[in-house]
Order: sequence, then structure tokens, then C-alpha cells
Amino acid sequence: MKRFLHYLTIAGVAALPSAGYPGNTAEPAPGDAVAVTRRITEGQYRNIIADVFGTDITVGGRFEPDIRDQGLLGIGTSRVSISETGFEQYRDLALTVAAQVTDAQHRGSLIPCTPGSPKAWDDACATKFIQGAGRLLYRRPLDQAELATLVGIAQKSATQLNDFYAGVEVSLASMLVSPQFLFRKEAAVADPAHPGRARLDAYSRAARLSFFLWNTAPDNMLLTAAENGSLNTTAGLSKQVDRMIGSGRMSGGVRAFFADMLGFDEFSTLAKDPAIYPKYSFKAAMDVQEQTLRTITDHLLAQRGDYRDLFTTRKTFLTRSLGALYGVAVVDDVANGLPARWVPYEYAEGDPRAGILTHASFVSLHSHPGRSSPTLRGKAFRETFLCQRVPDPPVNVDFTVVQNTDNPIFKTARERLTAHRTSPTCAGCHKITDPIGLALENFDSAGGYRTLENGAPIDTSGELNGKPFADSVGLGRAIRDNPEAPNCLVTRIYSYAAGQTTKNGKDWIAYLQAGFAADGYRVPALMRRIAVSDAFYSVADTPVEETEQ
Amino acid sequence: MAFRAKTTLSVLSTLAVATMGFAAPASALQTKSYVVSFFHIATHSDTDACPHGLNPEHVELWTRSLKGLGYSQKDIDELLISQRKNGKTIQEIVRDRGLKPGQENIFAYPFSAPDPNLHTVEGRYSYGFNLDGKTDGGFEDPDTHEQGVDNNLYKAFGCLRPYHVSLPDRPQYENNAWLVLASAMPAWLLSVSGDDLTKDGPVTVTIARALEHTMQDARGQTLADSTFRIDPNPRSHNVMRGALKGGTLSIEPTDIFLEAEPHIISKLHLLQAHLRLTPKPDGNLEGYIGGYTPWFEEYWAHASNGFDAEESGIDMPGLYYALQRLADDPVDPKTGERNFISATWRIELVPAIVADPHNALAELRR
Repeated sequence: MKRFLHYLTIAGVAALPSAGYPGNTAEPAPGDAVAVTRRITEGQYRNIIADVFGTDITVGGRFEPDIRDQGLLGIGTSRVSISETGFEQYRDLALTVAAQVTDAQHRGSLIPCTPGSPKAWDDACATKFIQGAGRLLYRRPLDQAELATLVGIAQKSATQLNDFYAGVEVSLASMLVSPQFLFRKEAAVADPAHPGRARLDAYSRAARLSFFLWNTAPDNMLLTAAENGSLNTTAGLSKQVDRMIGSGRMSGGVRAFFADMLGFDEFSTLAKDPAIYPKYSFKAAMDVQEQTLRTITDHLLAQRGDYRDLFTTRKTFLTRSLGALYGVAVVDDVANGLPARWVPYEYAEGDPRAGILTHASFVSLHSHPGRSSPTLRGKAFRETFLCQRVPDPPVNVDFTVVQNTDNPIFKTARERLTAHRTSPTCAGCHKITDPIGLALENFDSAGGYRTLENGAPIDTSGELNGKPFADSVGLGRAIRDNPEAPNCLVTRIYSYAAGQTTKNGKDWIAYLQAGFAADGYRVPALMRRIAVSDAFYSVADTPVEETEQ
Repeated sequence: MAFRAKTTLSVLSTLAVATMGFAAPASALQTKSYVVSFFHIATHSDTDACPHGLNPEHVELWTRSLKGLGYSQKDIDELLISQRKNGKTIQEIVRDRGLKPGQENIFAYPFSAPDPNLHTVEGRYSYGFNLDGKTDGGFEDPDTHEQGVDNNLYKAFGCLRPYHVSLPDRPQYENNAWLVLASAMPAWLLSVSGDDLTKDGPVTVTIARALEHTMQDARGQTLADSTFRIDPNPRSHNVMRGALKGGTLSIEPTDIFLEAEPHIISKLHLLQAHLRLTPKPDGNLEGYIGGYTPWFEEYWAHASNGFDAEESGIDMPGLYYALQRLADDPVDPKTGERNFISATWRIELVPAIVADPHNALAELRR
């Protein structure tokens, strides 16, 4: 029987040594990492329901919004609880899912037994279903008390309603609104190999691994590896990691990370003026995200490409509607009435669109509803790809000159921003954002291409850390060759996976960065290096007395 | 305003890298392509158009017809309220008001009902073209002031209430039909090719049917700059000689055939087709296309919608008789009938990318 350790989650209680973590001789400790409790995201909720009950179970309704912390929702999920309204939303979702799972259409395939009578209580059948579903939803086996409670709920409802399936439905809904499902609570145990240290227990290890690589809960094989202890061994862990990285589901994990890092959740509140940008429809806003995520997963996973080349690649995927937005020919020979297909597309050498910075997902997300914004784009560039912090503007800034796109004197954004920067309070930040953002001025607020603004030619020259460039392609090359870009990615991806930034973890990050470079900046290799490390599962919490058996 | 041309080379160089493997252009012609974004009977309904007034609304039309079938006013009032009488719906009663046995359905057998002698347009103006070369007896185009404009289709429709409108309003019936159905039919394409589309001179015009449908933009209008392929079926593929003059595109009179959506217009079949399109500042095109068209197709485009067309204010037997009466092409020597009527439609287009416009040019050269 496994006994779970009561643990502390106070950062810095017991900092691990900063070099030479004993579990892996090449690997330093990750600093003061802690076990965290994270609310599952909307995407994870949907993935889990699809994995456990199938993709034809509809998950309709709204979710409590996530918050972004230190650049990532993946960290913000450890800073949120559930409001009263949010609980009602989760309850409605749970009731809807449970009703579908137990309805006449699905019960035959989703409930692994048939009761003696659909109108009568069947303890064995209900227990079997609740045990099986509960293990996958709670990401560990239910303990005896939990099982007894859930079976009791089902029995009471089934008896009162004279309906076995109604009882199971209530019990399943109870699981789906429970904190054990909605929150990923990591548990730490004493590390028997390293007295005085702690590590995540096997189920927490499995969950951290699965949400990192697949953005969903552990599957049966991973849970089994946690149950039989093999996940705590170097060989067992490697076997599971390699299985998961080799799976087609890896793209789900990569997509989730990059969607988080790129701030795609902000598309839900993005608006464009349809009178100015008629091509930027709701569908286009969806498609621009998918374009970038397809480009990323194809380049990183299918092509095994260098992360840095995402900033220069001319290869992408487009739909007919995106072709219209970009003004390029996209031939889709799918029959009308069927979903639009994604067509591989490669821009010609010398085309201004190269790299994900020139995708509409980036330039439209970091623009205003009716005009582009070199400042927002430059700020997003530095914060997203270089992990730099650009201060917010002072509250008393006069934006009049910048916002007046009809100014007959300052026709281009460059001219308006030059005038705006005459204020010393503005100049500091604009100096680090605008030279980058102005390089993307050939792309309007919706991502459409232009060479003129108000009849005046657009100057896209700029510089990054003193390195000059002529245009968006040059900017892509500049960041491609900037060592801080892959270093930033390492920091981001570890923080996303662990749900926290590192404290006192310079050596750990440096180790990962060096490994990333040695691996040719291959992201799957970086993810593997993190996933198989002892340090990834090491926590600074002080174990009290109990150990995992 | 001149056509802003995208060179053929640039279009095809884009295509070539799209992994689709299109052939290189035969010459350095400039080509600009468009997709039809709106199409409806051209109307210009000023106060002089219908000196005898507009044709009645559907209730009055039905009342008149039903009285002819022996219904009392009381019966008709009850029918309009209850929508049923003697086990039949109002739709069935209205539909089956034909007088000839076995031909009661007036949508299929309009000649089975008496001619209500609908009012037709008698005004001075109509958009269109002088098709027969005669300057007496026709309309005057309100834009070009060309005399002798032949547009008897407008003459037949113009005093029907849903067609008694002028730009920027569109005929309500066709406006609704287009908005609902246009994105469900293969698009209509127009490509203009020439040595320099910024200057006056001869051009080649291709009007063809696409394999793809149009898509809508954020305003619910036709999405510009999307890509289409020309339907390889030559039946809906028209290549003609044209000209640019002062920015206006026209064609040498020729025949045009395009398949379409039955409830909008089952097919666009024009003899002696004329075209006049002008570019707008936003890059779109607008103008008129006309010629002689089979009048029965126009009847059926509306009659096939049955009750809905009548409810919008179009008396179908009345329209049938008006079109037949106003048919103005030469008499068919075999049948002694006139099967075509002079017609003009308003046509609006937005820029598009046509994947293989040069196949059309090759066909013309052959």
C-alpha cells in the first residue's frame, strides 16, 4: 500500500545543491523547485474527456479563465482556484458529460459491464466502472474511502430513481467536479536514494510527464508504470518517455506549449474592425493560430528541425481563406461543403513572409483593432522570444500622436512614433521595442501585406541589439542568430512543464541550454532531456517521515 | 481609374511554389481576375417608370384569382387567416389555381391561368445596351445615356413591387436569393488579360465557372482574393475579345453561357452579350452585362421557388405572360415563336486569384 507524504510547498525551504545532482552525474539540481497544485486547463479538460470517454462526447460550455503569470498560463494555473461561478460552469460541464457517457447511445461501449437490470442497483458493475474511470480521471487509483463514497452516491441515486445508469451518472458527475479531477495536486515523498531529499511520488511524476508531453492525463500504460514502480527507475522512466515522444500525441503537447508561450488564449478577446479588415473574419482568426501551430509542429516534430529556423522558414500551411488574407494562391481541391484543407505552402525566396514573426497570428495578435502597433509587436517579441521584461507605459502618457493614423504630417507609424518618442518618459521603452516592431510594418493589423501607409512608403529597417536589418526577413535572421532566443525557450519550456520558474536554478537551466545546443536545438530532444532527468521530479519540500513503498 | 494589374508572372511564380506545379506563362501578359460578388436584374425605378402604378401585392393578386375560381370574399378572408380550407393549405390552393384539367399547378402550367395583364415599365430609363442597333423605341441608359437600350426583362419586372427599386437598393427577391444561395453555387469568374491593363487597348476577357464556391468575409460579403480553379467543363467557359477604354471594360458582342444556381438563375445564356464594367477605388468592379436571354429561364428561376416567389409579390402567370409578350429577339422560323428577351443584369465583382487563366487564352488562340 502506498502512503502519501504530507508535504510543504514553501519555496526555498530546502534548496537543493546547485551542482552535481546525485541521480544523474551530468545533471545539476533544478534549484528550489516545489511540488505545485495546478488547475487543469480547458484544453486539458477536453483532452481528458476525449481520452477517457471518446471524441464523440461533447464538452460544451464555458470554462473559468486561466491567468498568465510570468509569461505562461502554465505557471498561472498554479495561482488560481475556482470561483462560485466557475464551479457552476464545471458542474454544468460535468452533468453534460456524465449524461452523455451513461445515455443509451454510449453506455454499451463506455460502461464495461451490463447491470442485471437497468432499473436496479448492481454493486459490482457500478464499482467496476467507478474504479476504472476514477483511476483515469484522478490520475491514480481511488483509495477505499473515495471508492466507497462514490459507489454510495451512485447507489443512493440509482435506488431513488430506479435507474442504474442515473446512479452511475451522478457518481461520474461528482468525480468531474471534484478537486481531485480539476486540480493536479503534486505529492512529494522522501527520496530513498537521497536521504534528506524529496521527489514527486510516482503518480505525480506520471501526471507531470503526461501533461508536459501530451497535454493530457496519464494513459493506462503510464499509470501502470507508476503503479508497479518502474516509473521511478531510470530505465522505466526512459521507456515511458520514449514511448510518449514517439507517439503522434506528442504534437498535442508541443502545440499546447507553444500556444501558451505565444499567448494564443488572447485571441478569444481579439477584435478587428471589419470595415478596415474585412478579411479578418472569425474563421480567419482561428486559422491564423492553426497556421502557426501547424508550422511549428511540422518543423519541430515531422521535420526534426532546428528551433531557431522557425524564425526564418518559408514553409507553412494555408487554407483558401488564409490565402485570401495573405493575397496568395491556395488551391484546395477538397469537395465543397467539406472542411477546408490545410495546404503546404512555401513562400518564394526573397518574399517578405518568412518565419513565424510574419504570420498573421503574431502581427495581428499584437496590434490594435484598427491599426498596427510596432510597440506592441516589439514588446511581445522581446517578452515572448527573449524572455525580457518590457515595462508597461506610465499611466499619464499622451498617445494622441501615435493613435492619429490620419495625421497628414506623420503618415507612417515610424513618423508617429518618432514624434511620440520626443518625450523622455516614453523614449526609454520605445527604444527597445520600436526598432523591432517597425520591421514588421509591412504587415497591417490583420496580417495583410502593404508597402505604403497613407501613401507614404514604409521603412522597415531596424536593429536588434546593435545588429541592423532591412526588413522582416532580416529581423527573423537576427533573432535566429541571437543566442538568447534558444536560451529563452529552454527557460520557458521548463517553467511550463514544472509550473514554476526556477529559483537558484541557474546551473540547471545552463545545463539544459547547453544540451539544447548540443542537440542541434531540437525541441523534442530538449523535452526528452527534461522529462528523463531526476531533477525534473526533484522538489525542495522537506519530507517528514513517510516514504513511497 | 485604371485596372491595377498583377502581372501574370507574379501570379504564376506564386503558384509555382505552392507545390501545385502550374505551367509557366506563355507570355508576359498582365492578368487580373475577379469573382462575381452580386448579380441581379438591373433596375432603375424612377417615378416615371410605372405610370399606371405598381402591380398589386400578393394578397390582392390571390384575391382576384381566387374569386375567379368562385371563392367568396368571406372564404378568402378565412383562408388568409386559417391558412387552410377544405383540407388544403393556402399554398396548395394558390398553387392549384390553374383552370385546365390536369394543369392546375400554375407554377408548372402558368398558361393554365388567365393573364392578369400586369403593368410593365413605360419609363425613359433603363440600364443596358442597344442590342439591335436601333435608336428608336428603346430606353436611355441613365449612366451612359446611350439611346435605344433594349431591356425588356426590366420592362417585365420593373413594376413588380420587389423589383421597383434603384441602386443602392437591390431587388429584394434576388437580393435574398443571392445572399442565401450564392455561396452554395460554384462561383462565376472573370479574368482580363492584356499587354498593359493600365492603358486603353484590346484585352481578352474570360468568363467561366469555378470549381469552388465563394467564401464570406467578416462583413458577410464575398471574400476577396481567394483562389479559384476554372471548371474544366467547356460548357461554362467563355473567352472573348474585349477592350479597355478610359478604365471601362467592354467586350465585342458574343454569346455567353454559364451554369448557375437554379433558384437564382438556372443558367446565364446570352446572345449578343454586352458587358460594361468599371473599377471602383477599392479594387472591385461593378457594371452591367446584357444580351438576349431565354425568357422562360427567367420565368422558371422565379417559378421554381413556388409559393415564396408569389408571396414576395410576383404573380407567376402574370410574369409568364408578360415575358412572353415582351420577348423581342427575331422570330424562330421553325416554331414561329420568340424565345429570347433583351435583358441586363447588374454585376459586381471582387478581386480573386484564378489558378489557370491562361488555358482560356490558349483556347482563344486555337
